[in-house]
Amino acid sequence: MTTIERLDGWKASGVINEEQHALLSSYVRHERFSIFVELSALLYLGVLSIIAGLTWTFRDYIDRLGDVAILSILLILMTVAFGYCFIKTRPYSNDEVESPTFAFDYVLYFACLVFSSTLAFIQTRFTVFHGWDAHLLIASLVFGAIAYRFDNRFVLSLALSTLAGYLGLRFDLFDGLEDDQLRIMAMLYGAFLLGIGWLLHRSRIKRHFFDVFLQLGANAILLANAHGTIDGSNLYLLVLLLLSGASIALGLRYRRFAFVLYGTLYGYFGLTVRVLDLARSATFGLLWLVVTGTVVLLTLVVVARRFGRDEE
Amino acid sequence: MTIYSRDDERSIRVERLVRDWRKSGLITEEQRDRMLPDLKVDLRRTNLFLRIALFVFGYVIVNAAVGLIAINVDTNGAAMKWVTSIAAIGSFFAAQWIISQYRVYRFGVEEALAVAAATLFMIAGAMLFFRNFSTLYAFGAGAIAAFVVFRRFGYVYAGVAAIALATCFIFDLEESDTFRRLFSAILLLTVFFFSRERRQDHEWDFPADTYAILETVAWGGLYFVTNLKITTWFSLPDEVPVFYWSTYALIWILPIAGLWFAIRDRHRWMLDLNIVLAIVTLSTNKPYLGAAQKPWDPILFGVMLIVVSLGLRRWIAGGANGSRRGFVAHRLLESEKAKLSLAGTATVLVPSAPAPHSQPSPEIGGGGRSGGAGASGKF
Repeated sequence: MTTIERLDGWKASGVINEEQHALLSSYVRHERFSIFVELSALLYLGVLSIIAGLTWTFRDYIDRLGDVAILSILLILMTVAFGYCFIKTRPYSNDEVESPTFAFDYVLYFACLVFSSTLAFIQTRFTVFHGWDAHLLIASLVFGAIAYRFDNRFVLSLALSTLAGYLGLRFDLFDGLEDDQLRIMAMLYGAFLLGIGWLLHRSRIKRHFFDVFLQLGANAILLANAHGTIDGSNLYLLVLLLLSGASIALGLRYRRFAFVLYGTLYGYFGLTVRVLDLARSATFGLLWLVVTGTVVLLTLVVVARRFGRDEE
Repeated sequence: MTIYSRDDERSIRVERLVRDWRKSGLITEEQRDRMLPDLKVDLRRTNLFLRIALFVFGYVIVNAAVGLIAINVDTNGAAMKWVTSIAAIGSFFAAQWIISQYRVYRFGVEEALAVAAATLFMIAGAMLFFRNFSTLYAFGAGAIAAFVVFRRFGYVYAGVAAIALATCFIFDLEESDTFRRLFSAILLLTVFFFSRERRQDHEWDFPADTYAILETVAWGGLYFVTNLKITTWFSLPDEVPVFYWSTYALIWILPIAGLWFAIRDRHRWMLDLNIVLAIVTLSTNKPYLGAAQKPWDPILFGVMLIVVSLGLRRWIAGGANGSRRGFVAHRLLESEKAKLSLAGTATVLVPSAPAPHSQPSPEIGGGGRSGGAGASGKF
């Protein structure tokens, strides 16, 4: 039975009315076809491309243009872009706010990127901040405030990744957390995100952003401990297993199955790396994977049958 | 030949649509609750994350078990091809058995077995007729196995893998680059038109959605083997001027033709792909012509993208009921908003604006750390 035949059946049995039938049929037949996502993607790429081009041009022509000209261009762009956003914006609300115009989110994103470039330029040419760290921290705080004021997920992501940059972190699965100092920093970063995310969620401030904090925070902490485990530390392994367990338990409790996945993969990975490191035998290693893998698999099957439905 | 019935596949897809319609406010909760029982299938499913976990562990177990047997029964490696062959057949039938016994659908475990069967067959194929590992036979066997998995279980990623591996098989032949590109283009065009034909038979109902993806992948593959500037890492082009300039013409023709197909058929995958291809063509135009890229090229390019986006939106919105021939520039479904939210969150992994790469880095300048919107680099 085709989708149209289904809709015909629901109309005939009075589940949907004539109007709904016509509308839904037009969607199914692609007679009404939205290109909203594609147009948004073009705007996003356009903004990134302009920023890349500006940076490249200023870098190549810094001697010819001079500091004043470059700074003036950046300031004008920033003022115009932020000015547009402050004029067009809707009043602040703790709930989700729809963008006032189609281009609004991308103008704001552009303004933030220009602001960041301006700070970088000032720092490079006049060294007014105390090194790069202060500059990134300022950018991160400003982005965070803007993200909440204008309800913009792109800018929030920018704020969080800039904060990571301030702490010297890179989001890389295989590299980037090579020493204890960075791992501890990553854990603090993750804990901070979880804490602030929870606090804002509890205060009912932009609750739709909560998931961004959770995902990033949990992964930062688990990844830091996984890296520590690879280096042979039992303390990291212990913490990793505890946190993985917590991630699985909380994921099941609140039906956020991404965290069940994170907990399972990070925890199993950490434990397996340590066991294989100690055993150093191919037969034992493969046997370990078969036996423990089967145990985890069967447990997951039980969990999937009990909790995980397609729609969740 | 497919293990799942067409009605079940369609019901599952309509169920997803019904949920999206509800979230988009097109139907009420009561209407949804009256529709869903009609779409009930006796297949057990799970959510995406548990499916991924089940797939990962299932795949690891199968491969570890095969490795365990191989290293214990065969100390010099001679029996490896037989172990992998038997394991491939065993995994394939195990996947079928699990599906028919437990009525699972995209549950992870059966997918792991089916994919393991294909990869094991690929290894077996590579070693069956040779003492050493033959990549040519590996690609050939992999393409056949992936196609069988696609036909039997309907996994679209297996179909995509079959296309990719068949292309790799051709590129592994000991022939000139021009021959390999032409041969691949013929194969990909054949896949494209076959998939297109199959899609059009079903008017966007299953299996049209699956064939739409294969059609798009074949078209993308055709562009990939045609554009010599983005594939030098894959296969070094011959210096044949006629071929070179023919491919230059084609990298312009393909996105335009693709967009025309996409707009005519309202084909989302083709539309998205050909937008990307058009962008790639614009980015590789100067390297093709041997012209130096200027620092302001990205600015012009960005302005052009924004003008196109805003201009199109304004033009479409200016039509009757905010629509031009059925195309609208606003959101219709909640799932479109979810896509953008996901993209917004994912930008946390984008370290900065793309750095210019087509000419050597200037003396002053540098990379940058995570985030900072590109500002962690230097001017």
